[in-house]
Amino acid sequence: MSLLVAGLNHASCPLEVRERLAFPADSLAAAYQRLAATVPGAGAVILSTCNRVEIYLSLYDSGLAASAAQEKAVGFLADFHGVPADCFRDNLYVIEDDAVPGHLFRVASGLDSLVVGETQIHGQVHDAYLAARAADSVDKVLNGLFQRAFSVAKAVRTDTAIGEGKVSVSSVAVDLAVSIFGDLAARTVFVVGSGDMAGLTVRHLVEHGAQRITVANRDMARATRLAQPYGGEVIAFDALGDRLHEADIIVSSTAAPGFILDRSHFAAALRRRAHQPMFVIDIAVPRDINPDAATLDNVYLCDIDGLQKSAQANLEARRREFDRALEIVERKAANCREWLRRLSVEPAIAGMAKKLDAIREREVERTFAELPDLTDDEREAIRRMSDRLVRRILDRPIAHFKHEATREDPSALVHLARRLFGLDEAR
Amino acid sequence: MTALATLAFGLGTLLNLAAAIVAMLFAAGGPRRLIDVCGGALAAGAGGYIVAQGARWAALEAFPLTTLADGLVAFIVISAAIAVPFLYRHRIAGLFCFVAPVLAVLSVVASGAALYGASSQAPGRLLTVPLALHAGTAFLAYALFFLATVMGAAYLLMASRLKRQAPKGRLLQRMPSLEQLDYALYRLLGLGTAAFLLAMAAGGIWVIAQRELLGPNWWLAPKVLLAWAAEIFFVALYGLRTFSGLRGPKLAGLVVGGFSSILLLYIVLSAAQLRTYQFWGGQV
Repeated sequence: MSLLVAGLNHASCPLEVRERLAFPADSLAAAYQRLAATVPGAGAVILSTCNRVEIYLSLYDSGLAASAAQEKAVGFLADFHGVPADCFRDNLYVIEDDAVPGHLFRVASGLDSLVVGETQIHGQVHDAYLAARAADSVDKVLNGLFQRAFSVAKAVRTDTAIGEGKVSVSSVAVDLAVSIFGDLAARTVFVVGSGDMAGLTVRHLVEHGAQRITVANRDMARATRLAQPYGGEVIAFDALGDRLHEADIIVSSTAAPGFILDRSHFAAALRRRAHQPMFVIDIAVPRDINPDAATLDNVYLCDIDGLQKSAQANLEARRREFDRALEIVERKAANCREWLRRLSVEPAIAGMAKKLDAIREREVERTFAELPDLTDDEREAIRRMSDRLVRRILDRPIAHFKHEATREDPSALVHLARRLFGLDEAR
Repeated sequence: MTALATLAFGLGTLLNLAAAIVAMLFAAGGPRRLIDVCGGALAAGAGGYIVAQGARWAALEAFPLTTLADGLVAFIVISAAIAVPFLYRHRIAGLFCFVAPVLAVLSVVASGAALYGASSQAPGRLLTVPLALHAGTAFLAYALFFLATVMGAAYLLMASRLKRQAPKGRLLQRMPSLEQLDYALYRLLGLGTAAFLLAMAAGGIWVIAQRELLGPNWWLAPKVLLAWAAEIFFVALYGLRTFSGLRGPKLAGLVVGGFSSILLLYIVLSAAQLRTYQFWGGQV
C-alpha cells in the first residue's frame, strides 16, 4: 500500500516551528499546485490548524515509494515556507499505510487534540478536505479515507460523551450560563472590572449569542476598551447598584480588596426584575461577591474554585470516555484497512483479467483462421465459450485474492500475481 | 381479558419497562440517540395499551375505566401522549429520563392490578357522557400535573447542583436550561389547571344528571373536597407565577410538594375506602 502522512503537531513540535509551517487558507491553492509538481500523480490533502500541520499523500497512481515521497513532502514543506528542513526534521512524524486510517480517525474525532474531545477539529478536517477537492487533489483513496473519517468522528460524538462538558474556566462559565438561560441572545451581561479573564469570558458569552454588554469600572478608559468591540455600554462604577436589576449575567473581576456586592444588592435587584434568575460569575481573587448572595432563590453564584472544579471534573469525564472512543476508532480503522487492501489488489486483478482476455482473443482469432468455414453462429458460440472459460478460470483466484488481501499485507500477493501472469511485461 | 388484549397489555408494559431502561442508559452517559429510542418506546407502549383497552371495550361492550388497572393505564397513555410531543416540541427530550421510570413503575403496578382484577367493569348507569368527560378531563389534568411535577423535580435537581457549584455530571449535562424547565412547568401548570377546572365542571353536570346516585351531601365527599383544594392550590400557583413572580425553585418545590401530597391523599382515601360518595349517603 502507499499511503503516507508527514506532519507535526502540538506534541511533537513547539509553536514557533509550527507557526512557520502553517498554511493560511489563502495560500492553499498555491500550496496544492506546488505539491502536485513536487509529487506528481499523488493525491494530497493538507491539514493545517493551530495545533498541527499534516500532509496526507496517496501514492497509488504515482509509482513513488513511500520513502521517496516522504523526502519530497519534507522538501515541499521546506521550500514552500522557506524554512530549512533541518529546522523541523526532528519534529516530523511519518505515518504509513495501515497506520494512516487510525491516525486520521483519531485526529478527526478530537482524540489526538490538545484538549481531548474538542469538536472544532472535525470542521477543520472537513475544510481541509474541501480545499483539497477544490484543488482537484483528492483521489479515490483519499476520498474514501476522509469520508470514513467524518463518519467515524460523528459516531464518536454521538456514541460517547467525549465532547460533553467544557474544560476551560471561561467556557465552563458560559456552559453554566446556558444551563440557566438556554439561549443567551436576549440576555444582558454586566462586566464589573476588566481583567483578562473577564474579557475572555465575555468573548465566549458573545460567541454564544449574548448581545447586550454593559461594563462598569472605576477606570472608564479601560471599561471603554473592553466594551467597544461588542458595541457595549459603559457605566460608572457607582451606578452599578442602581442598574444591577438589568443584568442577567454578571461577570465580576475587580481588584477590590473586599466584597463589592452582597445579598442586599441582589435581593433588591431580584424584586425589581420579578425574580428572574441572575447568574453571577465571580472570578476575582479576593472575591467580589459576598457568598451570602447565593442564599437567595434565583441567584446562582459561581466563583473561581467552582469553575475550576467543574472544568477538572469534565476533563476527567472526557478521559474516562477516551477508551470507548478509541475502541470505535480502532474498529472503524480495521474496516478501513480492509477496504484499502481490497483496493490495492484491484489493479492486479484487472491486469490478470486483461492479460487472460488478450490471450483468449488471440487464440480465438487463431482458431478462426484455422477453420475458415465456420458460420457466424459457430464463431459466436466459440467466442462465448472462450469467454466463459476465462471467467471460470479467474473466478477462484480472484475470490482468493480478495479474501487474502483483507487478512494481510497484499503486496506479496500482488507481486506473485504480477510474476505468474507476467503483468509487468504487459505494461 | 381476550388473548389480543392480554398480548397488547403485556407488550405495552414491556415497552414501558424498555423505555425506562433505555432512559437510564442515556442518563448514565449512553449515546444521545437513546433518548429517541426511549420516546419511541413510550409512544409504542401507549399504543399497546390503547389496543388492549380497545379490545376490552369491544369484548365488554363498555369502556373499561373503573378498575385501578384501567385508571393507571389511562393515566399512562395520556401522560405518554402529552409527554412525547411536548418534550420534543420544547426540545427537552432529555426529561424522558425522569418520565419513563415513573411510567414504567406505574405500568408494573397496572399489570399487577390487571392480573388480580381483570374482570370488573363499570356499572352501566355510570357510563354517561358527562361522566366520561369528567373522568377523561380529570385524567388529562393529572397527567399534566404529573409532567409539571417532573419538570419541577428536574428543576430542583439542577438548581441544587448549580447552587452548590457542583459539576453537572452526565445527566444534567444533557438537561434543558432552568429557564426552559420553568417555562415548560408554567405551561403545564396552566393547562393542568384548565383541564382540572373542566373536569370539575363536567363533574357538576354529572351531579345534576344523576343526583340520586350521589346522595344529597355529595359535595362533602372527601374526594370532592380534595379536588376543590387541589384546584384552588393550582390556580393560586398559576396566578402567583403569572402576576407576582413566583418562579424558580419555590414554584418548582410547591408543584412537586403539592402534587405529591394530593396523590398521597388520594391513595390514603382509596385505602380507607373513602373515595366514594357512599360515605355521605350516595350509592356509588
